[in-house]
Amino acid sequence: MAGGGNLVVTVSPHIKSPETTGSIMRLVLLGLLPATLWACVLFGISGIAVIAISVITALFCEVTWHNLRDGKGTGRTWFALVSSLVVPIGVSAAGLGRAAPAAAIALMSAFILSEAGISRQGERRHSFDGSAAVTGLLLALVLPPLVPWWIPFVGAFIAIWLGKEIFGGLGYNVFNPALVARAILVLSWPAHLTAGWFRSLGIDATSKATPLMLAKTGAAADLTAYYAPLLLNNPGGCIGEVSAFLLLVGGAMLLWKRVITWEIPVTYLGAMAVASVLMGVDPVFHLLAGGAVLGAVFMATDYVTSPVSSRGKIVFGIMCGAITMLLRVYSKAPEGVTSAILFMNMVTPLIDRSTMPRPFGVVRAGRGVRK
Amino acid sequence: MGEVQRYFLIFLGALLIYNILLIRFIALCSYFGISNSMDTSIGMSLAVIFVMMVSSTLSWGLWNYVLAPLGIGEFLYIPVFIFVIASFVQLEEMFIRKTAPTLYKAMGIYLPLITTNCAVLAAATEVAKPGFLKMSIAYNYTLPEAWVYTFGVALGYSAALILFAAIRERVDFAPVPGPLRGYPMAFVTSALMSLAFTGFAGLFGL
Repeated sequence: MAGGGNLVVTVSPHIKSPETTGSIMRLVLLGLLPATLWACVLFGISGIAVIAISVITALFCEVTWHNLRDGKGTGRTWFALVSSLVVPIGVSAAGLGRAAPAAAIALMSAFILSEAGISRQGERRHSFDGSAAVTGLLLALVLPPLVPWWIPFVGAFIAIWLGKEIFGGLGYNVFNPALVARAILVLSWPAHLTAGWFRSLGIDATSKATPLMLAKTGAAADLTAYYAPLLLNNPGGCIGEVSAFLLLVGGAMLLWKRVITWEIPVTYLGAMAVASVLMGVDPVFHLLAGGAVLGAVFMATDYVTSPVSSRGKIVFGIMCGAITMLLRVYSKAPEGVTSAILFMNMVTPLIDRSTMPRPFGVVRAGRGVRK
Repeated sequence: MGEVQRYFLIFLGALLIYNILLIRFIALCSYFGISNSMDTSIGMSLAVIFVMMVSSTLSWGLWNYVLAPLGIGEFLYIPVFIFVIASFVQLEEMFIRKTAPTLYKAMGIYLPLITTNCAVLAAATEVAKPGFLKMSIAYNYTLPEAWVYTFGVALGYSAALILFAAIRERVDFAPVPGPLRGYPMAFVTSALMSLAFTGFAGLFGL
């Protein structure tokens, strides 16, 4: 490789995209930002606390797992892990229950910052690709704002460790980590996860039922009255369900930046509309209510857990929408987005397998295995 | 409740809501043993569907016309069903090998495995002594209901097995941490699949 002036000899690929995992994740965070900020305004300190605990714990889980996996700073990592569990419990036991989340946040942030900031002899500093932050934020957005502080804490551990890292890390997880965490939390502490909706903006902060719950029980006679609130400032629901409009703005930005493609959001919401008309319920209400937009735009479009091909994505979106409406209308629970997306995550490898494009010129296999 | 609606609920309950593998955790041995590759999963599924239909019919007949009328069913049904299923599968294997070599090639090697498959016994027991599908319908299955139920169970088994095989093809190539490689990861994956199936609990009041 004689260096002859401007001549550079390299192996392929020769065209490099400036797009990295980090840049994509930053765009996703940016897409979630409008709804997140508006949620912080609406829910005040409790909303901010849930989001902060969830994101910081997610980052903490990623750093500790990677350290232990790579055999890097094992001693201090274990110390940080144990103390992040013991100290908040001790603080609670000392009768300072309100300080427990603050203690946990302080400890975990200190560890994260030291791992990312301090260079140690013979060790690479931890570099964040932002995927843990996205998972943590998405988890916070599917939790009610008034959950106890340890719900997002435990949830982030489930999401990062059980949902993602155990499968081999980013790119290998079968299920959407945030939704795995939510499903396990709902099964484990149903009482905390199905209450705690409130708003701090205004005079009183009262616990209310979500519009979907009211529609389910038939308590809300006129669903059209909910259109405007659901679009702009949802009176009851998870943190991320504050405003369908702001979520759609973020989604439009992601579409414009080509971070996501149109197939899944459009077919998901389209299938929901068609299914709700067939089932005889209000389609506009069901598209705006609950986690439909959040799920269709930000959860179902996860690269890792959704099909690769365009055809596969369309199948995926339609099935997600149909299952969501099926669960909303015919099951006991008012919401079905989490279950629908998790179920279709499970089917994704099979969809990928059966929608694999045929190389040009290859004759269809005679056994009819590939459709 | 209409007849068709009843069949639909029995089928859906058996297929999805009380899925034999992922909700009731029966027949896990074949589930983990066979799901290594897609081809074996499909072959096994076909064999299970076929054997289950026949063995449920047999045990339904035995229960309703022999065991229950004689009053010996309560304590004898498990040995009788095991004996009937095992001998039937052996007989069937011999029969298929002689009469339909192609079919035997597709699913023959799985037939001995099914002799001891607990899902087959579970379905056979359920159609004789209902108890799992806690529905307000059918306490005693009629023969068509038993067929619908068994077909649902067998399809649910196949669906879970084939989905799991597709997922495992992916997980097997992932850089899973050393101690978790192989079966531990298979258990974690199927636990999360079970979580996904749990979402359907309560659908149509089942």
